[in-house]
Amino acid sequence: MEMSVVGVMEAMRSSLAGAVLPELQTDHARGQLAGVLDVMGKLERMMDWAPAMLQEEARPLQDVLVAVTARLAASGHPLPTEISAGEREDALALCENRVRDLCDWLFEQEGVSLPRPLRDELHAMLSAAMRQSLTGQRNRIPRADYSSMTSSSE
Amino acid sequence: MIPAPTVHCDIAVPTPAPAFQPVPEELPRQLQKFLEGEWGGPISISGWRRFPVGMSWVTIGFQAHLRTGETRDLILRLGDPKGLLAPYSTEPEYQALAALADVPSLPVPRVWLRSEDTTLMGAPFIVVERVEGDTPTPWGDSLGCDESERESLANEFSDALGALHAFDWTNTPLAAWAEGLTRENVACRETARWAQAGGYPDAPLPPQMHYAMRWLQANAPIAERIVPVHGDYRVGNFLRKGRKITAILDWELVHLGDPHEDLAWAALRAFAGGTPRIGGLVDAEVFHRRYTGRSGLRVDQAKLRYYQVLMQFKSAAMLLGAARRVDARRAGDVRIAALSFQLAASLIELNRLIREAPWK
Repeated sequence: MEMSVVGVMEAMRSSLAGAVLPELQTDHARGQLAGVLDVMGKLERMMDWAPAMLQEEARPLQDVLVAVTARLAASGHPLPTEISAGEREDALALCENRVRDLCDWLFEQEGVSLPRPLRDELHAMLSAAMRQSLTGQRNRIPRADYSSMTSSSE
Repeated sequence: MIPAPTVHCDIAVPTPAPAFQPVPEELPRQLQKFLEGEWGGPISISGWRRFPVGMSWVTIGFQAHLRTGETRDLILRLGDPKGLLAPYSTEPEYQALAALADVPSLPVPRVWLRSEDTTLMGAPFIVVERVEGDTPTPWGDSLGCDESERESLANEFSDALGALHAFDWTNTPLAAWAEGLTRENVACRETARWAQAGGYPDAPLPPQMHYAMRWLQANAPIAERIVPVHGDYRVGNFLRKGRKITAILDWELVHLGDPHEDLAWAALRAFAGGTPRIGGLVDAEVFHRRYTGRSGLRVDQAKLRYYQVLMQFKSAAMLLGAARRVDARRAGDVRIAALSFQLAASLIELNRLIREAPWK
């Protein structure tokens, strides 16, 4: 997730307070919205992304780092020591850093010593892992209805 | 997203800067004063109406009644400093609309005035002619036309892009945009532009985007020709009245580049409304054939596949930039937060396009 829960909640509270509240016509509606804003303000300080969700995103990346390291070692082309597989318990951010480093290293191997079939294999492994990581995140997010966000009644 | 209730230490949440208020009571008066300075007073303004569309520019319709008795039906567009792609400049759009004013098959609004002076109304702004028509989108039933109407719109959509790419910009103010640009570097420059929009290198890109950035750099093609590129050419960015396109809109991303950019952007799956057609409007083969007939430019399928990756990267960069704005409390529209949640889906599509694209 590229946004924090706090950031998202703040955006919602700002919209409700700045764009919706001034448009309400009745005291009851204004009171209800004030209550919503109050509760959101409290929740904002208590919430974070579910650890299980973050681990679900991290696992494919952890696995591919281990698999690529093993594959390269078996083929006699070890990864540079500064790009390590890390530990399986590493946080998502740490895994992502390592995957970025691996990407850079892999693209730098073009025309260097790594045989083309092996390079292609490693690209495929990396691509599949990133796809799996993203799919876990995407599956938790319903499709947005943009037409309702941009429609005009006039 | 399933929030896990966890007690945190009490964290002071900084109060964000006041949101840009594009329609305060004084805005019409400020605009009136500006127009009187440009057109001579007195000028009165009526029919003030903000349109809900878009998360970049604030769009307001109004009429200006001049001292000559003339009434001008106009659109004011303000570049919201908290908009999706802020900060904005009105210069590219202004120069493009002025240069393209009389190109056959390419209807564009007449551009009147612009200002980069944010002290006038809090944001850079541009005033253009209001053109009749509604804005069909690929979603829902808004294309809602019969087959002959659809075919007419499809032809005009293809012709307009062909006309744009055939335009000789070299003896216009657009030539200034070509500084440092070559057929060899257009693709990499565009890649760098959108990587930066996603926060790179100050912030890391998500792994899939980082991978895509390296892939785009490694597989960049040489452009056959450099043309004016609309930058957001798609169904949803034109006005139509019946079977005619009355204006191509939203020129703020206009720049010089490879024509395959616009062809690929229009064809993004996100704009297809769940149909196999480009923008839900036109089959790709028909679009390309008609486009080639109007522009004289051949559609290179290998380059098109490359630019599909680059355009998906651009789309993801916009979403990533939106997410970063939300987190930095710099998003003035909650719809930006809604949009940001689509990043994962966008990156999955990017993953697929790279797998299916030809590699150098």
